[in-house]
Amino acid sequence: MLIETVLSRIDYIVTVILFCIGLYALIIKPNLIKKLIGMNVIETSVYLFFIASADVRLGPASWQWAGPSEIADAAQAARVAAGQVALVNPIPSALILTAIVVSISVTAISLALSIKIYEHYGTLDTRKIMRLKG
Amino acid sequence: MLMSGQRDKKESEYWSGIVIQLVSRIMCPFIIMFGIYLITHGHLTPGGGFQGGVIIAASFILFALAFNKKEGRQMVPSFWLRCGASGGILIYIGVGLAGIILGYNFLANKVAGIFPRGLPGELLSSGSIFWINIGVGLAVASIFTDLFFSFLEERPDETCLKTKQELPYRRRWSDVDRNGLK
Amino acid sequence: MKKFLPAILFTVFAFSMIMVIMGFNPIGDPHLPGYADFISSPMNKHQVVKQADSIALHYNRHACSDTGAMDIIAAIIFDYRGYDTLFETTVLFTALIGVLSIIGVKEG
Repeated sequence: MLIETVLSRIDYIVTVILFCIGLYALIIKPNLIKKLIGMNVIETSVYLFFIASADVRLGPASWQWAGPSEIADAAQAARVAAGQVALVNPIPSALILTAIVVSISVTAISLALSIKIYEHYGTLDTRKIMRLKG
Repeated sequence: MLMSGQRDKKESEYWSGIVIQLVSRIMCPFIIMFGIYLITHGHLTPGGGFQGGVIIAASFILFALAFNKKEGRQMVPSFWLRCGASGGILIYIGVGLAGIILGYNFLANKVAGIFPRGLPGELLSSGSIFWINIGVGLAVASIFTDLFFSFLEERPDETCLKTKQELPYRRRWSDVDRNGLK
Repeated sequence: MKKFLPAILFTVFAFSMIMVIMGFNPIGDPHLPGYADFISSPMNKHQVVKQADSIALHYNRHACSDTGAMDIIAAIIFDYRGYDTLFETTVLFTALIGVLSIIGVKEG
């Protein structure tokens, strides 16, 4: 029973483990670049969580039934329109596309700032940087 | 930063190998073609402006990594990259403003009927989505290529290096370490 | 001890999050919380959900006829949420401007 419960939610569990790995790197690691890597791992886990929550088992992907006529199945389309077949949820995919762009922007700005921090202080270790400022 | 191992060498000494150069020279046009396919068929198949733009930018990045950065920069000059980045967003805003000019909402698609709305499944269908895809793809490709080249051509600030010895708050950690300020 | 304390803390954190996630519906269930309604929360997963109220199902059924695009995700991104995508591109452009102003690349 427990094995079945775990296996049917294995994607969520993987996202939680990824989130904790990223949070560990973000909090514990003193190096700024490693903190950035941890932040990216956290973002990846959030993407995975959203995409996993959108899945419908054996349901067609959102472009498969509405696609060109050689792909689309007319009977399937009729069943979808009647509400008998559940499709994969398209909204998390659309939201995650936005989130990816924002995370890339944040990563680019952070890398540029860390380059300047390295030129200024000569190190990327946050403990040394904090001690230098005081 | 990215090519910091090669920073001390001269530009002409950077040599990635004949295999990488030949394969990247062959593959670059096909990668660009695949990106253009993803952009123009964004309303028919999975893909779109963001994904296709990133793939086009990846081809330029591959070219700059296989050859040196000067040859990569010759393919995509800085001026044209910034023109593309601005022009892509301007295409988007222009498509939106076309709805306002005809008396509809901003970014009105079906009710306005400005752009060709063919049968679903044709290339020139779905109204403004096709043109918005092209604008977004142009902007994203230019922005990512420009981001990569700006990181590649990053140099330490000369004014910062010059005044480093004079200003007290610009101590480097190595200096502090030598003075025993741990 | 100082070295293992963060690992223990993060293990406890992960365990608590996994215990929360055990209450979710299994993956692939059409009655997922994001899919149908806010009513189908993990607390009452056996409740029958009115699927006609869901915005996702509205997109799935009417996106092709509303916009003419075959790809539903493209219809959502570039038509239903056109403002979002416009300012998303602007965010990317602002990131480019920020990087150029921080790093300070010379012209040419």
